[in-house]
Amino acid sequence: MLSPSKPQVSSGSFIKDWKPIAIIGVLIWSLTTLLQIEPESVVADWQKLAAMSPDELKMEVNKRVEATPGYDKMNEYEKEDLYKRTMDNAQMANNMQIIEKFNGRVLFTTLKLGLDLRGGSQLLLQALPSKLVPEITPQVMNGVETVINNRINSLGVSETIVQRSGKDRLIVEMPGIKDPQQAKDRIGTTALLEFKEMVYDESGAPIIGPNGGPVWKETGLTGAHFKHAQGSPMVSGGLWRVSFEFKPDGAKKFGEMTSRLVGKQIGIFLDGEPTDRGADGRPVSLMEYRGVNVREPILGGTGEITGNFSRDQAIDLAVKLNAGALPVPVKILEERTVGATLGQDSIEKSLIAGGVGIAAVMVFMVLIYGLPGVIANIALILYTITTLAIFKAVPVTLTLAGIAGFILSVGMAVDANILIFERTKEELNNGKGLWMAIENGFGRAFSSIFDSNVNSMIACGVLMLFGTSIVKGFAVTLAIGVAVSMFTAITATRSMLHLIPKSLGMFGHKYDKKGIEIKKPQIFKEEAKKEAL
Amino acid sequence: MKVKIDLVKYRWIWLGVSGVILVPGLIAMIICMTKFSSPLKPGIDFTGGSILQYQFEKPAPLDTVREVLAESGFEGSQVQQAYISGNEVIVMRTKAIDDEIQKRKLDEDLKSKLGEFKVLSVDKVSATVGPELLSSGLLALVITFLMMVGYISYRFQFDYAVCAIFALVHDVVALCGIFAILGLVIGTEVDSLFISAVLTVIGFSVHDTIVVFDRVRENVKYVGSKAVDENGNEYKKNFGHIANDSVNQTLARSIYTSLTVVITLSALYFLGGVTTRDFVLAMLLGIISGTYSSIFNASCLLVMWREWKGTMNQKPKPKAA
Repeated sequence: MLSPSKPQVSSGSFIKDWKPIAIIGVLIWSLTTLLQIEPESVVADWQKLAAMSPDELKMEVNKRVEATPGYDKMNEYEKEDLYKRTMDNAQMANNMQIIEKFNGRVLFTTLKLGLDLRGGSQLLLQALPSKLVPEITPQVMNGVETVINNRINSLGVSETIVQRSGKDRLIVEMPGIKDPQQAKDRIGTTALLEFKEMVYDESGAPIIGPNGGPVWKETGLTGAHFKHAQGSPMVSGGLWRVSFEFKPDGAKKFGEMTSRLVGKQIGIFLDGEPTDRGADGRPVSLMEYRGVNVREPILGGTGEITGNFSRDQAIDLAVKLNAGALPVPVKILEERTVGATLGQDSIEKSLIAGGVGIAAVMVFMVLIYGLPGVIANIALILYTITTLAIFKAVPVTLTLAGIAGFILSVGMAVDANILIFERTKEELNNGKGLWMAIENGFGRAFSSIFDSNVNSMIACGVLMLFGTSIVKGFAVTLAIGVAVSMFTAITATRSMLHLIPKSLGMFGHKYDKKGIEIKKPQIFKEEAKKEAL
Repeated sequence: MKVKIDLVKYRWIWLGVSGVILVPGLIAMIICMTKFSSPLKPGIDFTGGSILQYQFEKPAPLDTVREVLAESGFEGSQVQQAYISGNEVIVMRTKAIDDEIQKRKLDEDLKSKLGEFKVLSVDKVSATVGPELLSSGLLALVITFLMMVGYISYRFQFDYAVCAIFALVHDVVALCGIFAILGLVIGTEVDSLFISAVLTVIGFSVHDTIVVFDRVRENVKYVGSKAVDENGNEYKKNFGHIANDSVNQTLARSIYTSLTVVITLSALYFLGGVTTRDFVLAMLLGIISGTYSSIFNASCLLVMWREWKGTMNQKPKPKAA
């Protein structure tokens, strides 16, 4: 580490120094990481792939992979790799920021944008303990995660993420989802399908419970015994049904149950409510529900649920049955949905605001400091490119709060330059030579840059540990920004200040051809006064 | 910078200016406490609730929207008009919609009464999340404070750390006070982004104060050295003079730096998205306050502390980075 109290004064040329090499290295890495150039036709093709539904995409990618020359000679690993690469390209178009088009080529970058900028839905789900599962253990959460994953995949939305958060919570992210309501309907229900039998008294009449409807008894047979379920249209009336096939043990149980209950009623319940739908599309009330009559034992292991379903209801139920029931009920604790329009509006405005803000700061720096201000601006450009490249490489998901953090870190990066310049100016005013003034100015500024940035890092660290996801996004961009600003201040600003030819001078101090400072007139006057005394 | 500030002589003026800003804010926070039982008007992130922003194709009368909401079981919901990119947007604030079927029915009713609409955003937070957010935010705050005191005590001295913390408490109170006033006057609510704004302001405030203290630390070796005032009288420099010199030496930097941050934040405020406007405003206010407190309050307090302790000649231990 550099010692702030003892500025290094090297007599050797700065070219031998590591800093310019580091700057060029970082710049090359940043540009190659950040920017990509592809022919327009290739990009258009990716965009076409990205617009497809996941199923279409899979088929199309498979077709292309198989059509690749030399496909027959590839081993499994190479095939998979090729498939993944093609898939990645298609996904990339979903998240692509085109910078410039020229000569039939497209210059673009692929920063990862958050849901608030891209549009999409984020749900925070909480698993609730139930009578059967009184405690949410990691195993239970694994079950919940799997089922939620299955259900979301069935929605046909690409790039969905299901993430554990804490002991009993899941974060579900669905970028670009068109119908969040459908997603919530599908995710939020437990989808526990139960077969129950009606309870009869000795005379064979159904017992009427306190709610005015028949009393139902559990049979232990649930949707978990299904191998497969499928929605299909009924022959007439435009209604749909859900046909199902039991797994072997379920088929056995179902056979035994139906043999025992011939002539009696069994009920099918989804999450405690009858599967039968009334005219309003809602489940019929428990009071009215009578279930279905078992006419003969069903031994084939297949059956169907006919409950006045509409097409959507039947397909939805089939999907849920196939995805499996949730081991415990879940509750949607938090929902954040941003429409694509608002996201587009936010990103455009943030980009304009960021651009205008940075440009205004650059003008300010040149007005205040002149030539060194230009150097600060070059350092600022290097800073911006490097920070964005790190965002892309990590990758950091950029949210609105993240962009705010980045813009704030720009302020801190500029601060480092201002500190160095002010100190250098003071050193020059104290009569130091140009080289010494820069080195001393830098050395003295460094301790405050270092201490203040360490403090910012402490704040960022705490935010990352304890913050919510929005706050975390902000802290990550700020922390990366602060770290990079230290680097650019140490390397770029310092080295480039030395590059300013002595003949141009700095901070109002001018030098003649021999490198001797030309004193300002008022200083002459003061000195003349002193001499006269 | 030709301006010279006499920090020590006019200390009560500098502290008084802070008082003028802090006292109304504190009063507003007390009023908020009685009104919302929280020092700031809490948004749905803390209380639980839903905010729906819909853009209707045809102009939607607010009263009709209210009626539809009441019919769907959301009586007492707030309905407002807002403009996003020049388009009229209906903002509905309701209690947390826990029942998805109810929400679906509301959407259908709105569609049948008012025509097609585009969903701009839906935010729903259940009441259980709010207290957790607040407690984790406060925990983050306390830990940040402690770590900063630790770091500044290590790099500087304990009294520097305490004064830096005072300056930042000043900024946090100023910021919260102004938002409490805004909450009472125009109904500005604070959300989870506000917590990150407060934490940023803390970071920036200490950042600023450290730059000034760094100069004090550097100059403190001149305590006891001889100097000549403008009337030609010789005097021995005490800690107050040193603090004065240090603040004046860093004045240009303090002002330039805040100006650059104020420039970028203003650009974000006036040109950026609606969603982050309050967040940016909070940072803007906090940073202006942070600059003021680092120039006028932190060193002032440090001088008063040292005078009170009578240990003005005590030098900070030398530190190596």
